[in-house]
Amino acid sequence: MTLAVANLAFGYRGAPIGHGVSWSIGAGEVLCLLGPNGSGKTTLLKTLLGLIPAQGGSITLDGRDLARHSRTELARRIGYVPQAHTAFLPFTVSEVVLMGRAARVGLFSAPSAHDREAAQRALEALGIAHLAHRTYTTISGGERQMTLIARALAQEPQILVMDEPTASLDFGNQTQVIGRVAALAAGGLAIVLSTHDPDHAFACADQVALLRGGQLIALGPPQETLTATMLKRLYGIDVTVTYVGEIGRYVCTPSFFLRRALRGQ
Amino acid sequence: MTTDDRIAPQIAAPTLRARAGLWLALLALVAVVILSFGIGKYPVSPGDFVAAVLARITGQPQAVDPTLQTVLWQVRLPRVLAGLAVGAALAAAGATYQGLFRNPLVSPDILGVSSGASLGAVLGIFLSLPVVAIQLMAFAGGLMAVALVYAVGASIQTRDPVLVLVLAGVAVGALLAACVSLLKVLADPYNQLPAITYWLLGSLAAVTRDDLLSVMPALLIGFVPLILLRWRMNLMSLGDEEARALGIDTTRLRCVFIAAATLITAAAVAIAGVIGWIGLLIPHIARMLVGPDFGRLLLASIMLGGGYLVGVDALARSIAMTETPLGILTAALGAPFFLYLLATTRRGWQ
Repeated sequence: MTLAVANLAFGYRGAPIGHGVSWSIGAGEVLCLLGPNGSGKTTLLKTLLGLIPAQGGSITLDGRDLARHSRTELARRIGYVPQAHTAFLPFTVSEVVLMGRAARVGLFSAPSAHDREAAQRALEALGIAHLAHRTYTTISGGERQMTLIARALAQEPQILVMDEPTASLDFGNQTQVIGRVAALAAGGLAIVLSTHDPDHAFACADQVALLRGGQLIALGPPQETLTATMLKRLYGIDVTVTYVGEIGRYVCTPSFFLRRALRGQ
Repeated sequence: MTTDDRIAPQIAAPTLRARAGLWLALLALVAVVILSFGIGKYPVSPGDFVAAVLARITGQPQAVDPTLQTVLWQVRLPRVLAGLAVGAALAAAGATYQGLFRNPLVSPDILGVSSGASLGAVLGIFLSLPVVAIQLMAFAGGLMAVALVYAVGASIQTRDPVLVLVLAGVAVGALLAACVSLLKVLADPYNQLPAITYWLLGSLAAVTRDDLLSVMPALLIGFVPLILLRWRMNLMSLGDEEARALGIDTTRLRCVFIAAATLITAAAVAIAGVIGWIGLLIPHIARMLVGPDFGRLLLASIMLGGGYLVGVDALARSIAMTETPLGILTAALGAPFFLYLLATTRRGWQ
């Protein structure tokens, strides 16, 4: 399985957002998309999902143009995890997860026992089987995000596309979600996710893509790509990137000493 | 596997509460229908009603007073059937539109079906056409108005097709309402204006068995896709992009749902005039009883909507010397009850 993007231009008709994006991702790989607000991450992900037509270049799934897949075919291969939202209607968690089966349920049918088993497996894979009968609109943001990931897993896809899965989650829930991302990739899923925290890329990504003003300014493994210089270019702030021996990976933090500096004066 | 087999059937199976809700709706429907046969200028006790039904089933009508028979089968039965059909249609269309437009304040006339039907009927009355022609014009007017709104909405390139549809509906509805007002000003104030006013407030008093039969095909054609596509409707309420990402062809499905809901609304309005509030209120109550799943919601809306209109119609023919227009009653009952729901419970929505 390969999802390849070549010289992609994306955006809306009459309102182009970005161009020149190229990358390729295979089974078991995580690609992490970083970029400041308004850099075009969400639009790029929607283009990858086939929700917005590509404005130029190509997106291919195992060599076949994305645009030549039907919606059903795409939904069976690419799972979508939107940002945790409050749904309009108070469905139960299991009803929400079952909706992930839409591409595998006949047009005039309701989900079968087989579909319910798939939904159950997805809930268990994320450790939220106990939430099955809770109402989606009343659970916490972290639980909602897990539910949406379970729904995407119920699609039984080969690729997951996650739009800022850690947005508006607390510190603990962010870590949980990133841990799940790493575990799912280890299970063979290809994952493309966007995030605002470079540490998440260090924690789970094989490749990092830095998007600024709709263009890739860097693409590569986290420790080569997420340097202090690159992050300064991306966000315009001073950043320290350090290797932490205890956890065996790099971490990244803004290098300001504001309070100490003020006290010193 | 064994754990899966054990746990899987519980997943998304209707809860006990939802099932109880459906039975409650059915019970209310049966009770209202029996009571409404007895209410009116010629009261019939539930006992007499049951006796008359049994006599008819067993083929011994001579055992029952012929006047009673005429009242029950010639006068009240068509009205009850019309109430059931019209109420069910309006409530089902309301449930569909609320899910489709992801808004609890949406009623079946959001895309202009009522305004279109009104203009058609009012024009028919203005031109002194026969009743059948007025009904046909109302039906055609409703369909044409929604077709126009849909065409305008579809021709505008946008990231939010649903919002554009609603806004187009508001604009076209206002335009049609202006045309109706113009016709009211021009109409003969002694003959035509009262007829127009009555039509715009809705009534089942004049609905005949033939009227009912003539709109049956439209009702059936509208209801079948709603029932068949009931599970897909749940996905439509996620919003356009998410539903598409899950493999739904939203453009085509939305078109089918709008056509189906419009067809049944237009059929209802054509024979009963404009009856407000049912399509807005009943889906709310149904959702509280059985939850948001559209399959159950549709069934509950049909039963509650039908029962509600039959009940309101019984009230309309019994509270005053002259018949009270239904639109007045549904608004007078519906609006306070709606506010009460808003104030006391948020369960249906959060």
